Amino acid sequence: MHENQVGYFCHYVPWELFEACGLRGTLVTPAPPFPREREAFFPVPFCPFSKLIAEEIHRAPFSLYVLGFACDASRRTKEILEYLHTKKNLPKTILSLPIPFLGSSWGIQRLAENLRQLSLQLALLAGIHPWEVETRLGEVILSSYEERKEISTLFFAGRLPTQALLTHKRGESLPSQEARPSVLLIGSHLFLSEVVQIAEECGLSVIEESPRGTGPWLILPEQDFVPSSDPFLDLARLYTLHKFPCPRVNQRRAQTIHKMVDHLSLTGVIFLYPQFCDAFLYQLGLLRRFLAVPLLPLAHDTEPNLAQWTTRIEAFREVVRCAPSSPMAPQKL
Amino acid sequence: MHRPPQWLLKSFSFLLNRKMPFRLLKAYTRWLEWRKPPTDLAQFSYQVTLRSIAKLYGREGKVVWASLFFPSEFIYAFRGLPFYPEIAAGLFAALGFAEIPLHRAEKAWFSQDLCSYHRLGLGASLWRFFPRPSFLLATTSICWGTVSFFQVLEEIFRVPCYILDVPEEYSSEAIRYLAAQLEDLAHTLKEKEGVTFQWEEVFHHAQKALSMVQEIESLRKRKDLLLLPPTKNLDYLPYYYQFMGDEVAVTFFEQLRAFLLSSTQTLPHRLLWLHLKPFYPSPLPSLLEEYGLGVVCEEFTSLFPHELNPLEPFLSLGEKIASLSFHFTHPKARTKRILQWFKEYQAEGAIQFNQWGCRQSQGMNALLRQSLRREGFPILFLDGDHLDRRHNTQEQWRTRLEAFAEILRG
Repeated sequence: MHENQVGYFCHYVPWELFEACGLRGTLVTPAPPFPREREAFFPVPFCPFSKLIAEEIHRAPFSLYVLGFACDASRRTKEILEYLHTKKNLPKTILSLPIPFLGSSWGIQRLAENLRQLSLQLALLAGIHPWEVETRLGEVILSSYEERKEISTLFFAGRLPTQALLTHKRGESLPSQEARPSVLLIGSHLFLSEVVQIAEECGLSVIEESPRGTGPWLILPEQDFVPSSDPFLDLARLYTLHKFPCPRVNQRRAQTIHKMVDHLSLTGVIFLYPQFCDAFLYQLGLLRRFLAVPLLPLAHDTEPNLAQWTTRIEAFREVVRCAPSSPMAPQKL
Repeated sequence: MHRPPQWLLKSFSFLLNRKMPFRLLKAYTRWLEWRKPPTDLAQFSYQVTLRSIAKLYGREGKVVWASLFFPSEFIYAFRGLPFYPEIAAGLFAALGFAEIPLHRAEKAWFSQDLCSYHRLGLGASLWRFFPRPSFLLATTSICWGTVSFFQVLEEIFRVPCYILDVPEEYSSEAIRYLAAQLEDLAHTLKEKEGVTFQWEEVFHHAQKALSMVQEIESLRKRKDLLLLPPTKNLDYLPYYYQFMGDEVAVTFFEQLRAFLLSSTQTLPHRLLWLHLKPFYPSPLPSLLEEYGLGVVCEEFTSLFPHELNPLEPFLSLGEKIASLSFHFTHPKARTKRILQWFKEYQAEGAIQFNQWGCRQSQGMNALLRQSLRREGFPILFLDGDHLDRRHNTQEQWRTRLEAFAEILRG
């Protein structure tokens, strides 16, 4: 068991809260080979990432996990894990963070309240006073904001190397690159490196925005973050109003990606998505509406489809090269 | 099914967006009402459907689209015309036209793996087959797919979309949180849409309909009465959702009670029906009848006996939303309710018809099966899709229903 370590997913779960509690948060990232022991508890048309997360948490060494409820699949995954752990009497604690609908001020207030509740539970487990957590949290948020700003500045200038954040450790300095990217890769937690590699072998220089790479770090450059007297509300605001929107925040995300493509003069977008994930599936339809450059959707289940992806990315390279210099008109819904 | 040519679909869409044909339809419904006063359920439902179409497409008021678990009483209170796209999608499928909007949605890159209620709703909206909304109302319950669906509708129609955030628990805090959002929404609508709210009459109708529903439920607990064909009650879903708060629902449930009391036939086995069912013409009801599987209670037509207080409308509706959401989505609460029905209805087993794109219900299947098995109740999960007949596996249904009937006999 790893003391003081907490596994978490999704990236709405703020690692700042763990740090304020004196814990070290690790984003749960399934890695091959993927076992199939818990698969029978899930229906076939179900988020592959959730299935793999369940396997990973079941076999992983941490005794504490925090799961964000940002979709139906994550909620069901937690219920299944709890059932399995109770049945097998495994000494694991799984806490949850319900993520409300974030399109209104009501949702932000409720997220702040949910974060406060989670901090009480974490403080109890970590053996520190909740008041201490609240005091530390303000400082942690400010330092994380500075770190995010630095990463985001590099990213929006197109100078962040593709895989920089996949292996990045906090506190380390970031490399920067001069070569301008031509294609944006957005998408899933899984098989990202594989797609980046294929794209680069095909001669496409890629910039990525994914939940495993830059996604959790990016903040939007438009507005400055001004802290208030309530660190939980600040954390909720940072994760909802300032962060690069996740696929659940449909229109805002599609608009942001559209702006980004324009800003960096990108020539195409590769959309890597988990099959049966509603948030990504709706996002695909909306992106088609918003984007004025070629869009390549690549679906995956619990295994990658490397041969098919290679063929499709090669064909996409030709489409991007032959695309007219003036952008296409966005598709009408 | 052979798809009609584009020009025909475009002409159809053009006509649906003109008021004149629906003024004529309204005249026809008046004539029909005078000529054939509805004496049975089928004629009553036919006339209600025609009247609703005439009102909605004739734009006799603000057309307000809502998600299934948004209470229609709120819309009737400001004299809006509620339109539930998920219910309308079922009607489309029942008429055998589902393939046209489904194809349109897929053409716009909305995947076949999304819930077909939403996909069909999107396709029909893209074709402009549905009456244009003045604004959209939705809740985050009972699934997150609904939120994305309404956000895309907002993008298609470019009208305001108001979404209520529903907490995961059923507590006084959750009810107060919802009540505050509803009050805020009412205030916004008063300002932006110029509407005013009158609760008394609407709540009176809803309360009356609810007590009729409870009476029907009591009758269905008797072993000598059965609604046939099995699952037929799910065809009346609009009365349980869209018409709650309208006098139509009261009249309908009176007729339904009379119809139930006049039933003479029963079937050997009594079952609970979970989730919804295929709405396209299918042999499922006749298969159930063939194997002697009667349905005595459906999850989606089981409402909650909450008092709606016109002096505290937002709290009342907040409680309705919180309660429905919790009992549909929380596995323990859902299982507890199902086990209670087993007892009350003297049911022997349950069937759930899985919807291909529904993560929230299918994700609960394994735990539900375990819980019911522990209590000694068998459950059958049938796979397919409620609206998209491409996922139809009729022969498999037959084999599995036959085996299930044998388990019940054994």
